[in-house]
Amino acid sequence: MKKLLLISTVLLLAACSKNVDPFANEKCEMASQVRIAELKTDQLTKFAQVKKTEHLLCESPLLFWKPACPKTPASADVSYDTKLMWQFSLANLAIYIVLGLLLCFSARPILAINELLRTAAQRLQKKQTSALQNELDAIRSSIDHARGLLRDLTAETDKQKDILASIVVSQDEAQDHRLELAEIKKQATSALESIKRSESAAQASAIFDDM
Amino acid sequence: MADEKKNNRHQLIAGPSSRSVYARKREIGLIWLNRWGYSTPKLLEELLGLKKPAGRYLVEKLVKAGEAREVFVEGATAGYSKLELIEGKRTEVAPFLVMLTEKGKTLAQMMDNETEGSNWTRQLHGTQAVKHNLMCQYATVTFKRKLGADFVGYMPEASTETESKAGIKQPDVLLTKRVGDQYETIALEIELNPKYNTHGALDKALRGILYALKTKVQSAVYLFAAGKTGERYQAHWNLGKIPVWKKSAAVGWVKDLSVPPILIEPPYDKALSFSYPSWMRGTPWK
Repeated sequence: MKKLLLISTVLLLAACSKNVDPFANEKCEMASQVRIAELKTDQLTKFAQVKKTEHLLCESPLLFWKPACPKTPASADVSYDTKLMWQFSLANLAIYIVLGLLLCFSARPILAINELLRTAAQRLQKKQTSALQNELDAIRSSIDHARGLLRDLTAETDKQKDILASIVVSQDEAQDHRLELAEIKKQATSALESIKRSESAAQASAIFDDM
Repeated sequence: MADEKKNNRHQLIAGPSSRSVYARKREIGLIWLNRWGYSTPKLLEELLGLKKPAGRYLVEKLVKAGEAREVFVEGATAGYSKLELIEGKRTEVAPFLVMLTEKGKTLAQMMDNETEGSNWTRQLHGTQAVKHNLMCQYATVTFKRKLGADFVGYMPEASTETESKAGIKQPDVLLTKRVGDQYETIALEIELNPKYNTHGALDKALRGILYALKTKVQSAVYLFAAGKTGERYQAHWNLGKIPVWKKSAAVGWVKDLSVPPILIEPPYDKALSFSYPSWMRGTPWK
C-alpha cells in the first residue's frame, strides 16, 4: 500500500515537475472565469427558455392552471423549456382528470337537484299558469261583460238614433203642419177680413137702401 | 117747497144755452159748406137735425151776417127753390144754393182742422155735377142720421183731389164710423150717368175703388141711379181683373197691353157693394 502511495506521489511530483508553467496560475484563473461565463450563459439561456415557455403557457386557453404572463417577452431564438411545459401540462391534465372525476361523481346529485329545481319550476309554472289562467278568465269575463255592455249600448244607441230620426221626422211633420196651419190661418184671416169687409159693405149698402 | 121750486128752475136752465147750441150748429154748417162748396137749406136742416123751416132761417142768418150767399143755378133740378112772399104767400121763385162768402170761408177754415175746403169754381161747372154733389151730400147726411153717435166724420172728394198723383180717381165721399173701439172708413161712389167702357171710364172708376180699398177704406158702396148701369159695373168687377188704360195721341184712350191687368183678389173682391136705391132717381135735397 505504501509503495502504491509512494509511487503515485512520485509520479505526481514527476508530472508536476515536468509540466511546470510560470503562467499556470493566470491560465487557471482565465479558465475559471471562462467557466463562470459559460455557466452564466447557460443560466441566462435557461431563464429565457423558462420565460418563453411561461409566455406560451400563459396564453393557452386550454390550461386551467397556468403561470402569470411575464412582463417582458422572451426572445424568439430561444427554445421552450420542455420540462416546464410538461410540468404544467401534466398538472393541468391532473386537474382536468380530477374535475372530470368530480363531475362524474357529482352528476347524480346534480341531476337530483336539477330534478327538484325542475319540479319546483314546474310547480311554480303551474301556479303561475293557473293564476294567469284565472286572470285570463277574469279578463275574458270582463271582455264578455264589456261586449255585452257594448252590445246593449249599441242597441240603445240604435234605439236613440231611431227615436232621434222619428223626432226629426216629427219635427219636419210639425213644421209642415205649422206651415199648413200658418197658411190656413192666413187664409182664415183673409177669409175673416173678406167677411168683415163684405159685412161692412152690406151694412153700408143697407143704410143707403133704407133711405 | 121753495127749495123744490128752485131746483126745478135749475133743471130748466141746465144744459147748454141756446146761444151755444146755435154757435155749434153754425160751426157744423160752415164746415159742411166749406167742405162741399155749396149746399141747400134742406140738407143743412137734415145735417143739423132741425125742423123744416129752421134750415132756411139759418141760411138767412148766415146771409145776414155776410158769411154765406145765395147762388142761383141754371136749371130747376139742381138747387133749392127760393121762397118769396108773393101776395102774402111764400112761393118758390127760383132754385138757389147756399155758398160761403170769403168771410164765411175764412171762419170755416179756422174751425176745420182736417181740410182747407173745396174749390168752388170747379164745383159749379154744370148742373149734372151740382146734382152729383148734392146727391153725395144727401147720402152723407142720411148716413150720419142713421148712425147717430157712431158717425165720426166725412170727407168729400171736393175737399181733396179728385185724382191721386198716379192718376187714380178718389172716391166721391169717405165716411168714417165707429165700430166698437175701432174706426171704419167706407168709400161712397155715386153714379148718375150710364158709363161705358169705350174709353176705359168704367175700368178707371173701378180701379179707383180698388185702390181705395187697398189703401184707406175697409169697404165701398157704389150707388146707381139706373139698375142697368149698376149691373154693368158689377159684371166688370166680377171679372176679377181690371185692365190698365193709357192715352194714345192717335186714338185716345186704349188698353195698355204691356202692363198686366190689376187683379181683384180676396179680401177686396167682396168689399164692394152695388146698390140701386130709388131716391137716386129723385131730388131728395129739395
